[in-house]
Amino acid sequence: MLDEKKLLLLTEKLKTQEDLHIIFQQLDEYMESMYKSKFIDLSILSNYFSYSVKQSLIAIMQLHNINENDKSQIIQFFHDLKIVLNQLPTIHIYIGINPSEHTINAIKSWMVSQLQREVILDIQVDPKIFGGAIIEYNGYHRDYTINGQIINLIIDKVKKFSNSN
Amino acid sequence: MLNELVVYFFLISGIILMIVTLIYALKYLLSVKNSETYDSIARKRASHIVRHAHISSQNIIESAVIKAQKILSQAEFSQGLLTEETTATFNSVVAIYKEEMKKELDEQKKTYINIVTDAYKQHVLEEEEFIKKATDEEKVIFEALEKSIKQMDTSHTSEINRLIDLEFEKAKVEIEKYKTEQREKINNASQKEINEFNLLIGSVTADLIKTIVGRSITQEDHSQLIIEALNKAKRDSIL
Repeated sequence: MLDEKKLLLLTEKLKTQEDLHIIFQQLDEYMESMYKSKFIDLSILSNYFSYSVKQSLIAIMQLHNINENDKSQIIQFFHDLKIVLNQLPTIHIYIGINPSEHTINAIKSWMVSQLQREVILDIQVDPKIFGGAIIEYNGYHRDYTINGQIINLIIDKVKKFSNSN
Repeated sequence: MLNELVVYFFLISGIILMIVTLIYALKYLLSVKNSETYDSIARKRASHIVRHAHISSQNIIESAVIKAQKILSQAEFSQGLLTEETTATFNSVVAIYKEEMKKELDEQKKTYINIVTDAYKQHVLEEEEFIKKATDEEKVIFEALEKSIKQMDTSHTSEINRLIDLEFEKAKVEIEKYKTEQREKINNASQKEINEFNLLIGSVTADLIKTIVGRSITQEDHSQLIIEALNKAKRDSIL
C-alpha cells in the first residue's frame, strides 16, 4: 500500500473536491489507455495530466520504487493511488461568497499548518451567509457565521425574556 | 229550658270558636306557604344570576386567556425582531408586554364586575317591584321575605366576590401555565426547533445583517472570517 506521506507531492496540489474529481477522471482515462497499450510509455502521462501533476506522479513512483518498465506494477500503483486519494478526509465548508483562488489557498494553508494532514475541501456557497462559515466534519455541524451569532444572541434574549416573566 | 239554652249557647259558641280557630289556622298555613313560594322565587332568581355570572365569567376569562396568549406571543415575536435592531429596545418591549397584560386583565375584570353588578341591580329592582304590588294583608310576610332577600343579598354578594376571585385565580393559573409551557418549549428546544426558529427569523435577519455588515465586507474580510471560523472549530475540537 502507498505511504500517504510520500503522496504529499500530489495531495498538496489537491485542494477541493473539484480537484479530486478531475484527477480521478484523468487517472481513469490514463489507466484505460494503459490497458489498451502494449507498451509502457510514461511520457504519455503529459497527455492526461498537467506538467506539475505528471512530475509529482513520477516522483512518487520513484519514492515507492515502482519499476517504470513493469506494467503490472504501474497499474497497481495507480489503482492504489485512487484508493488512497478516495480515503482523504473531506471537510464541508459553507460560505457566503464564491471563493477566490486566494481564499481557497488560505484555507488549504490553514489546514496543512494547523491540522498537519492533507484534507479535501468541499466548499459550498450559500448567499444567505454574510460572513464566517458553517463547518461540517466527522459528523459534527457547527455554525460559525455572523448569521448564526446573531440568531444565537436572539435565542439567548428570548430565553432570558421567558425566564424573567 | 234555661239549662238547655245555656248548653246550646256554649255548644254554638264552641263551634264558632272552632271555625274561627280553623280559619286562622288555615290563613296561617297559607301565609307560610306563600312565604315559602316567594322565598323560592327569590332563590331561583338569585341562583339564575349566579349561574349567568358564572357563564359570563368563564367566557370573559377564556377571552382574557386567549388575548393574554396573543399578547405574549406578539410580545415574544416583537422582542425577537426588536432585539435584532437593537438590544436597547428589549426592556421597553418587556415593559409594554407587562403593561398590556395588566391592562387587559384589569379591563376584563371591570367588564365582568359591571355585568354582575348590572344583573344584580336588575334582580333587586324586580324584587322591589314585586313587593310594591303586594297586598296589605301580606305585608308581614313580605317584610320577612324582604329581610330574607337582604340576607341573601349579603351572602350572594360574597358568593359573587368569591367567584370573581376564584375565576381570576384560575385565569392567573392558566396564564402562568401557558408561560411555563412557553419557557419549557424554548428551554427544551431541540436542534430541529432551533433550526425552525432560525428559518422563521432568518428572512428578517438576512436583510438586517446585509444592511449592517454585508456592504462593508470585502473578499479579504470574508477570507479572514472563514479562517476565524476554522480557528473556532479547532478550539471546539471539531477539526
